[in-house]
Order: sequence, then C-alpha cells, then structure tokens
Amino acid sequence: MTKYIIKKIITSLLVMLGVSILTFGMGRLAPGDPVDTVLAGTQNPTAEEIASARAYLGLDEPIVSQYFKWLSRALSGDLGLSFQTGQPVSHELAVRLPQTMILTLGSVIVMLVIAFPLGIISALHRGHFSDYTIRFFNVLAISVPSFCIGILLILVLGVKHKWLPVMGNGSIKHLIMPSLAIGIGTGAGLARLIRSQILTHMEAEHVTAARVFGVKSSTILKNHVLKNAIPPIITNIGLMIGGMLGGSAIIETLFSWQGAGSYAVQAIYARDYPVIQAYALVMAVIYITINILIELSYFVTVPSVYLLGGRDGK
Amino acid sequence: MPYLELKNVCISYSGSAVINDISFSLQKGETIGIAGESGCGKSTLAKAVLGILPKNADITGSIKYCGKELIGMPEKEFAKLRGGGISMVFQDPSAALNPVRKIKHQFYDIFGTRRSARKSADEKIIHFLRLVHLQAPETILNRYPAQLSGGMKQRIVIAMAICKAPQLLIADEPTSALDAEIRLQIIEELMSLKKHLGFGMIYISHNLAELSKVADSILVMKNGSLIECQKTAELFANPRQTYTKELIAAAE
Amino acid sequence: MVNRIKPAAPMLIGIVLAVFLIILALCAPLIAPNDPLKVAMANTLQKPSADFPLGTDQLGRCVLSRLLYGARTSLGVTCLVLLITVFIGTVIGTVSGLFAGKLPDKLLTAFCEIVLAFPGLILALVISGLLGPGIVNVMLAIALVSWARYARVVRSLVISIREADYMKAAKVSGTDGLHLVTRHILPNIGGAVGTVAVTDIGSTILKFAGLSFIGLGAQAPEAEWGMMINEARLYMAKMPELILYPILAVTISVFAFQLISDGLRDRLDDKSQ
Repeated sequence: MTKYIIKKIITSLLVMLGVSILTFGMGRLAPGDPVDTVLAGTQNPTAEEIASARAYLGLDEPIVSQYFKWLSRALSGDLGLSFQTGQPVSHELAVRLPQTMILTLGSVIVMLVIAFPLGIISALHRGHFSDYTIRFFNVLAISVPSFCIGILLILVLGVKHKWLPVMGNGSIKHLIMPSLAIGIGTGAGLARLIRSQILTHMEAEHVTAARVFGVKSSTILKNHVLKNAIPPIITNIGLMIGGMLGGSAIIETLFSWQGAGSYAVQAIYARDYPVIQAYALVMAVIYITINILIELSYFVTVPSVYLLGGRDGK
Repeated sequence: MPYLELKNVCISYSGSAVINDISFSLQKGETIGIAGESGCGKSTLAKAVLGILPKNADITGSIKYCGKELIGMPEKEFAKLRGGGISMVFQDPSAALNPVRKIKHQFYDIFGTRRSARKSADEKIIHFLRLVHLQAPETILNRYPAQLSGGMKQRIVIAMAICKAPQLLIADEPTSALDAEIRLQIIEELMSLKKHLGFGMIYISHNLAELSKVADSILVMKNGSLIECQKTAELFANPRQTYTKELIAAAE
Repeated sequence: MVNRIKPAAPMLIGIVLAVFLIILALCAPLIAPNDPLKVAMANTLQKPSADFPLGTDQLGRCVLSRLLYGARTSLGVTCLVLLITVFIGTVIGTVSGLFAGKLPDKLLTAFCEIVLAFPGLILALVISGLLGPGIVNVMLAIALVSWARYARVVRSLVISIREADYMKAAKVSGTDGLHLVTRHILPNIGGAVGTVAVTDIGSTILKFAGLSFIGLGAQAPEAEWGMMINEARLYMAKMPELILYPILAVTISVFAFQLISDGLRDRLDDKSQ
C-alpha cells in the first residue's frame, strides 16, 4: 500500500514537472521580449538594467538552464511581474486564489446537494416517471452553458426581483448566484453519473447474495450499493472540480468575482503574459493536488480498494 | 406434504423460453441434485425458487414452499422467506461477498444488528464461522474478502447462507470456482451441515460425479427441459437417456 | 433485441433536432430575412415586426438573421475544431500505438498526461490568450487541448489491432508500414473515433460559446451566439428577450447533440454487455 502511495505521489510530481515545462515553453512562445517580464515595473530601463534582467533570466544561457532558473524562482514564489501593474504576479494571485477557492467550494456544495438526491431517486425509480423527469432535466441542465445559467439567475433574482447582488464578492449573498451557475450544470452531470454507478453496482452478484441471505433492502442500498459506488463517484468529483476551476474564469468574469479566473481573463485582454502563465501553472498544480488528495483519502475511507489493487474500486 | 413442489414451471426471458414445463418435489431433509451443462437453465430455476428472477422474466406454473404459493407472492412477503426459509450458496464466493466491506459487517447486515448490539453479534458470527470449520474466526471478522482464500470465502458464504437456519438450501455449483483440492472439503462441509441442521437441499452441478456424493435423487436437465429423474444409484446403474449416459461418461 | 437496432426515442429526437439545425445553418443565407451585419442606428432594439420577426438588437441588426448565421458559425467552428482534434489525436495516437512501450510512445503518452493535467478550459484560455482573440485562434486553442483524449483512445485501439491475428499475418507477408496504417489500422479505428467525436459536439459548442462570451472567440461584427449573449447583457433589464434568444439557441443545439451522444453511449454499453 505504501508503495502504491509513493508511486502515485511520484507520478503526480512528474506530471507537475511536465506542466511546468509546458507552461515555461508557452511563456517563451508568447510574443514580446521575456526581459519585459522582469522590467515591467521600470520606466525607460537603462542598458544596465536590461543586461541585469537578461542575466537574471539567464537568456544568454542554454534554454534548459533558463528553465531551471525559472522553475526555482517559481518554486520560491517568484512568478514574475505583471506587465500591467509592474507588481509581482504572486502577490495578486495570493489575494485572488482564495476567492476562486471560495467560489469552487460554493459550487461543489450546490453540485452535491443537487446530484445525490436526484441521482439516487432516479436510480431507485428506474424506468418510472420520476426517473424520466429527472433525466430530462439533467440533460437540459448540462446543455445550458454555465454562464447562461448565470445570466438567467441574474435576470430573475438580480434584475427582476433584486433579491441578490449581481456582481462583486464579499458576502454569502454574492456567492449564491455564481455558485448556482457553476453548480447546477455540474450537479446534473454528477447526478447522471451517480445514477449509472448505482445501477451498475445494483447488478453486482453480492447484492443478489445479500438479498438471498435476507438482508433488508434499505440496508442493501446503503451498505452494498452506495458504499461500493462512492469511490468511483468521488474520483469523478475530483475531475469535475477541475472543470469548475477551469469554467470559473467565465463565471468570475460574468459576476465580476475577484478571483484568479477573472484576473487571468483581464490579463488575456491586456496581453499580460506573466499573469496568464502563472495562472495556468498554479491552476494545474492545484488540480493535480486535489486529485492526488482524493486518491489518498481512499486509504482512510475504503482501504480495501487498495487491497484489490483496483484504482477506482472496481 | 413435500417441502418444495414445482408444477409445470415455465420461464421465458423477453419471450424466449428458458425453462420448459418442469415439475418435481422435494421432501424434508432430502437432497435433490440437478445436473446439466451450463446454459441449460439450472441457475434460472434456482432464481425462480428464490424469487430473484430479473424483471424481464415471465414465469408460469406453480412453486409451493411448505404449501405456500411462491409465484406471484408480493416482494415484501417473499423477502421474509429469504435467508430464514430458503437460502443459497453461490457459485463464486468472491463475487458473492462485498469486496469493500469487512466480513463482520456483512454478517451484521444479515442479522440486522444495531450498532449497540455488535458485541453479542460477534459471538454469534464466530459460532457460525466455527460451524463451517474456519480456523481463527476472531481474526476473520475484521478481514476484507480479498484477504481470504477462495475456500475460506466459500465457507463464509455457506455460513451466511445457513446462519438464519433455512429449511431449504440451494447450492448453485458451489465448488466450480474453487481449486480442485478444496472442492471435496466444501462438499463434505455441506453434507455435515445438512446432517447437523436438517435442511433440504437442491444441489446444482454440471458434474455428475459430484452429485453422486451428495444427492438422494438426480434430475437431468437439457435445454430447459427435465429429461430424466431417478434415484442416484439407479441413475448410474441404469441411465435411460443417451444424454445422461454421456454425462456419466464425462464424469468418469 | 428490437430496441438495439432502432435508436431510442430521445436519440431520435436529438437526430431530428440536429438535422433541423444543420439545415438552418446551411440555408441561413436563403432563410434569413435580413443581412445579419447590416447596422441601422435608426431602429435599434425594436420589438418583433414583419421585417424583423424577432426584432432588432442594439445596433438595429435583425436578431433572427444573426441567430441563423450564428448557427452557421457555431456548427461550422465545432465541425472544424473536431476535424483538427481528430487529426492531431489520430496521428499522435497511431504513432504512439505503433511504438507501444518504446521511447516515442512514452514521450507522447507523457505529453498527453501533461495536457490533461490542466483542468477544464484553462489551457484553452491560456493558448487563446497567447495567440490573441479571434475565431481561428480559439479553434486552435480548443483543438490543442482536446486531442489528448483521442490520442489515448486511438493508441489503445492501435495496440489491440496490432495484436490481432490479421495484422500479424499482414506483417509476415511483408507489407510496409504505411500500407499497414492505411489499410488495416485507420479503417478499423474510424468508427470508434467518429463516435467519440460525435459525443464531443455538444461540449465543443459549449466551449466555443463560452470563450466567445468572454470576448476571445468571434469578434464584432460577426454573428455568433456567445458574443450575442455578451452584447445583450447591457440591455438585459430593458429587453431580456435579446439575451434569451441566443441562450435558447445554444441550449437547443447542445441538447440535441447531447441526446445523440447519450444514445450512442447507451448502444455501446449494450454492445459491450
């Protein structure tokens, strides 16, 4: 088991390394002189300043050592200077990231609250009217882009009834609409997954066996179906959180939510490459970290998954 | 009155027939063997007796258990019969046990044990694990199925099947997923339990040699129909059908 | 049994809707009552009339015509994106599969892993940010992040085909590598890759609309749904229908292809059982 954990962590670190190489490469491919990423705050840099910036980036050295210089700076929290403000990107990100986290958390809560009841009801009433109704609304909900759900919410709750603020952060009230916008679609997607997982696990031989041995049907649902379906569902929740982090850029822009996503979108408008680069790197690292944490959390909750050697509990 | 009585049972899946007009009965404490190749409908018959046929199955005829008609019995009533009235030992013990739960928790489910009553339930479980001759039952309680051997798992499945004292036990190919050297142990285990607890048994197998060890009489099935039914000794001495002769030849 | 041959009802609805949308997109120049780009500052934000069946937008342009041309943009872009994606994915997946276990395969597989490590739209956002706004750049951005899944699928298909007997036979009889790929591999993976591509249509429409909404995709004055939604935001209180039409258009399109994709997936599940 420990071997498995170590292997998982090493793989994740390698992927992070790959991510950093790709991000570094994209930064170099961006138009403009990389020296600007260091001198963004300086008005009319002198030849000396430019020379020292070149040395700092290692531009005269081979590309590989440039990368390692960049990486070691990134690891120590130096992600370059923003073209727009001349301020360190890491400072701004440090303020913005928690906001994105809060929004993601809100969205996850909405997603879970929607997905579990709908998925379970739909599976248990398979083939009945309630199942068809839920499935119809699930398909519908995943067909509406999240920013459109956001707009519809703004129309109804913000513009028409003025119940909720339509932009900005700061309070729980501000959080409700953006969380719903992201959570409804992903919740519907998760509900579909939960339904199919439950149905798959209901067909397992040990469920039949439990029935034959006289186990109560509510106990079977809880202990023989849901418990087994949870690990693959959780793995997928991890993947969905990734989608939320990525999708949040659009929703943050829509609601003027001061998170990392809207920061990156503004940077894209302004061609502020250091910010864009830092955003990609940080988000990928967060995503990989979330997934490895979920993987590791299985050790506490369902150790047997590892005894079987299966990754997703099958 | 026979314990179990099947009359003109026909079963079809979405219109295609699987079981054609089967009738037989089983007396108290008797063991009936059902022989036939895989796909002949043996397992479907077992599912019908347990009321766990899939939804697309149609069943006609009559299955009476202790005089009560099982076909058309409401699920709520049927659920009470399972475990305590009729139970089953499954072919593949690895599939019949929930891979993500400890053995003791799977027993708690069967007994409907509340959290507060687990201590006393453990003793009961250990009693049944001893009954099926498992070594160190105390340690088995906390094991996951994947940590146990195939033979141990099948003994546990047997313990689960008999722990509510059923009157009728169906054994559906209980040895075919096991290693050859363990098969005989499991057969002996079932026979000694039967003697001890006095339940009737339907023993399903494709292997006539195995059936000859356990069954009082043997039914031979082919393509969903019953083609021969005799006392075990007579069947071997004097098989009427050529198909039966082939099965006997294959077993030797 | 019959059910497996006939598509299920939802899938049929999806197909009908999709065909309808494709016809609308193809025939937009014929059906559209007006020029979608023609600005008329004299009659902005008009209610529906005989000339403008769905009214006009903030620049006096015909909303219905813009919606119809928007279908053209959305479906056209989606089609191209998927073509590029499938092409890149198939090339990389095939190379990877042919060299399975060797260095080129390991490098390409690692590259796939890395691309897939960026969550959701983030890599597409970043690439289109680096390339600058515009439809072509957004198409490239989406394709450059979507190919990895196809490469994975193709790789495993190629490996399984290579192991199949007839490939061994073909190798023994001395066919060259290119022949192997064109005659044995590509025809055999076409169906599976096509299915994955069809299931991706809906999500591609969503991605494109999203990126256009934040101004990275289609640029004014083009007619595109995501951009129309963005432009109509300013007039949300005054004229909510202006924003509802394009939202409805995106939703119906994605819904149609989602139904088809669900149907295809169900059929695959049936087959595998």
